[in-house]
This record gives sequence, structure tokens and C-alpha cells, in this order.
Amino acid sequence: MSEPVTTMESLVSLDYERPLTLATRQYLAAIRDGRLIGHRCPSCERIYTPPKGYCPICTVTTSEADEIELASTGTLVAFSILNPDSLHQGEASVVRGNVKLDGIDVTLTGELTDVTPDEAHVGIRLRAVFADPSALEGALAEWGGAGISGWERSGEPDVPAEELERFETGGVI
Amino acid sequence: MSEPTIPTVTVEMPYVRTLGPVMSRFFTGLRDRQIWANRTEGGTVMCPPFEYDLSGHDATDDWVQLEGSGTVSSWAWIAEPLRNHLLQEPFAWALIRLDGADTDLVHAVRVADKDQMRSGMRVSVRWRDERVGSIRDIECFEPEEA
Repeated sequence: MSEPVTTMESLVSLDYERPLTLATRQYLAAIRDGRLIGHRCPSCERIYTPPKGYCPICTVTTSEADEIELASTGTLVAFSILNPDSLHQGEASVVRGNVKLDGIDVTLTGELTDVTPDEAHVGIRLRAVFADPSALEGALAEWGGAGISGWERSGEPDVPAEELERFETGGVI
Repeated sequence: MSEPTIPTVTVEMPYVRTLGPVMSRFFTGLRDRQIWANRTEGGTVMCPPFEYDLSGHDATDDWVQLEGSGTVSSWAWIAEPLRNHLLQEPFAWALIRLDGADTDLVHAVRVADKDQMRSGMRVSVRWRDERVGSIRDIECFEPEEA
């Protein structure tokens, strides 16, 4: 009681409310069906997932006509190991990876559900674990990989290093 | 296709700030149901206290204890409190010139109705029962008993 107070908590807490766009709702509907979709800009051919309904680079709108289905399988091309700290991020270290989707030069970032930090290496074959539909809050739907709760091993052999070197991976915008 | 919803995303940054000697004394005082101000060489009594004299930039180490009563200098009505506000009912943010001070303290004033708020009204502190050394140790200010 007599000890002086030397610190104060200074919580910054911001609530954002953002209506879901038509494109986002279509994306979430596809996720519920176990499909991953995006929009390809008709002008520059950049791929957006979740689709924004426009390409901010070209300032053109995109629509269902520009919809493409993306593979929900891919290859680990980069990863980070997240170690817990005192405030958050759980109790055990986890691996987050960049997954290059099959057939297209697009990577998504997500947590690897069954790859331990010791095992992590590029080339692991993965498939998306779709989030439970009840957990598909729109809050998730602003970022690449929304609606995908993580990535698990597909069981296929690793992609060999010489093939990995030929990947040209562009990030999703 | 499901109906459009408006999801809420909450972004939080749980900072912990070091108070330093001046604010430490102020917050320690609040925990102990005391309100401390400090006085500049020119005689200005500042509450909340400042680490330095705003006019001369000298350090301030002349402490004055104030009572918990004062006068509302100005106020703004909050009809719909946010979830982190001190009070979860409509209230007023007010600049409060505590008796003996020459500067204003920002805090919440609880009144039953906006019509009861006016600049110049007398208010007094309501302490929280469980105090930890925070500005929230003052639950709010309330109109002084007539």
C-alpha cells in the first residue's frame, strides 16, 4: 500500500466497423464451399484474394467476370518461427509460412498446423485447412488467406530444391 | 449468400508507461485518496502536476495538496459512451478547476441529465472503492451537495 506507483497502463483500443463488400461476401461464400477465389485485374493481371472489387494500382473495378479459382494446395517457400512472448501468441512456438499456390505465382501466409519449428524447411507440400464456417467472421476477410485457418501437410514428397529455384513467387496484393 | 454484416475489428496496444517522479507522486496520491498539485516559481498551481514550469522550463518540486472540490470551466456532453469510457451512462467530459489550482483537470462529471451541466457549477470528487494508482481511481466528479 505504501509503495509508490511507478507505471500506468495506457491501453490503446480501437474498434473498427467495416461493412462487407459484395466481393468479400462472394469470397466468404466460396470459402464455405471449400473453394478459394480471387479476382484477376483485367488491366494488369494482378491477382487479389480476397478480392477487393477493384484494382487500386490500375483504378479499375473488378467483378465476378474477373473471378478465378485458386488452388488450395501449394508449397512452402518461406517461413518464420514465432516464439511466444509475455503478452500473447500462445504458449508454444509456431511456424508461419508463405505458401505458393499450385499453378499460379501467388503466395498466401498462414500458420502451419502440423509442422514443428524443428521440421520447418522450404519445399514442404501443404493444403489449406478451411476455417469452420461459424468462425468466418467478416473480420477475417480483409487479408490474404482469410477463411483459411492454417496449412497442413498434404503428404506428398517435398518439392526438390532445383525446382523451387524456378518458382517465381509474387505476393498477393 | 448470407446477409451483409458489419464486423467489428478491435486493435489493441497494451502500453505500460513509466510515470517518472512527478506523475508517480500524483498517481500514488490518487491511490491514497489524495490530489496533489505542484507550484511553479511564479506561483502557478498546476493540477494535474507538470514535470516542469511551462513558462520558465524549470523543474517543479513545490507540492500542494488539494481538496476534491472545484468548478467546471467547460464541458462536452457524451450521449453515447464508448466501451472504454469511465462511465457507461451519458456523462460530461469536463475541464475542472480544483479549488486552489490555476489549471484544469480533465475528468468525467456524472449528472442525471445534460440540463444539469453548466460552466461554473461546483463539483466534488467521487473516489473509487478499489484504487490502484490510476486516473480511474477517481470514478467521476459529481455536483457538490447544495
